[in-house]
Amino acid sequence: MTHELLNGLSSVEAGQVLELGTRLIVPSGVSLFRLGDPADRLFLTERGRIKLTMPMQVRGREEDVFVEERSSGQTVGWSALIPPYRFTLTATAALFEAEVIALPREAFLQYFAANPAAGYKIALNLAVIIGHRLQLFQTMWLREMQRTVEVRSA
Amino acid sequence: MDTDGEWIMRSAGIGASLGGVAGFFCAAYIMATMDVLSWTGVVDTVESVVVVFIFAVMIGSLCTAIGGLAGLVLGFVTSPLSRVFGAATRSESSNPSVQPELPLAKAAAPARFFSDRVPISPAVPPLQVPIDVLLLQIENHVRLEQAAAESFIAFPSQARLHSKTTSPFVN
Repeated sequence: MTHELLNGLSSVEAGQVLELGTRLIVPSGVSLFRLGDPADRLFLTERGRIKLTMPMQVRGREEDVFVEERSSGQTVGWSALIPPYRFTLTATAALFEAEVIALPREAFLQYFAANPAAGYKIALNLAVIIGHRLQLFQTMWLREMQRTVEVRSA
Repeated sequence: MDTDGEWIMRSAGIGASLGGVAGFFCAAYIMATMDVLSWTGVVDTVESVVVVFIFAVMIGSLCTAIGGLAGLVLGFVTSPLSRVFGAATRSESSNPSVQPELPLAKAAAPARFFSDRVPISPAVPPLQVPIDVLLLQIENHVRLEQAAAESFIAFPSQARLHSKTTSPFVN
């Protein structure tokens, strides 16, 4: 299993990072974390799919609306490394149970301090993940704005 | 919108009516033009009229039955179309019992001239899909938008930025 967050790390370094974590099985439909929860753990998806949702008012009811899905090898919950350390989405195992590795922030940061070279690579990988999310949602936002402008000027 | 049964019964009714009217007049015309009837004297004419009338009623009844059966079969065959054209057939003249149940005016509402049991049109929601279906449509829309955005990020261009998707939310 190759994790996007551990790209460029040697197998020894990747093994050391994974040993910091705990494997969790998330049954289908069960939340890994909810919006607003303290983010003290980062998750690497080992198996299955994690659905990320945000609340939206639909017909006067608050519904969790699909935002994004993360699959094996991808990272979930990088809010654990970014202040103010609160989750801004709800993560739920999708159709089937999922398996993740939960990495506590404190252990992760201690590892960075002790292994700056590996920490640097992980920080770059994290920048790629966050940057991709930013580009993706920036593009989606612009597409929606374009439609809004077209509707208003029609 | 009509149910299948109402569609079939309406079709049978139309078939019976058309068959009956057509049969009556055809039979009357055929009988009246036959040589066996005499139209010379008053008595003969009255007698011929009675014969023509009786014959036309008999044939008309037979054609009513045949038309009704034909309408029944046609209605049965075309009943799926009633769903397709249900919206088009929905009108003020349609049977109120087949309309969706509407909220009635409350007793506190101002009295109407003929009846207080008048639907409050602003409160009537449009035909809505179930909320689970709506949420799936939203999810599908988001996935399509993400795919379009990914395509733009991989190969940025003006065309890809504003490329169309098949999402029913934007079409």
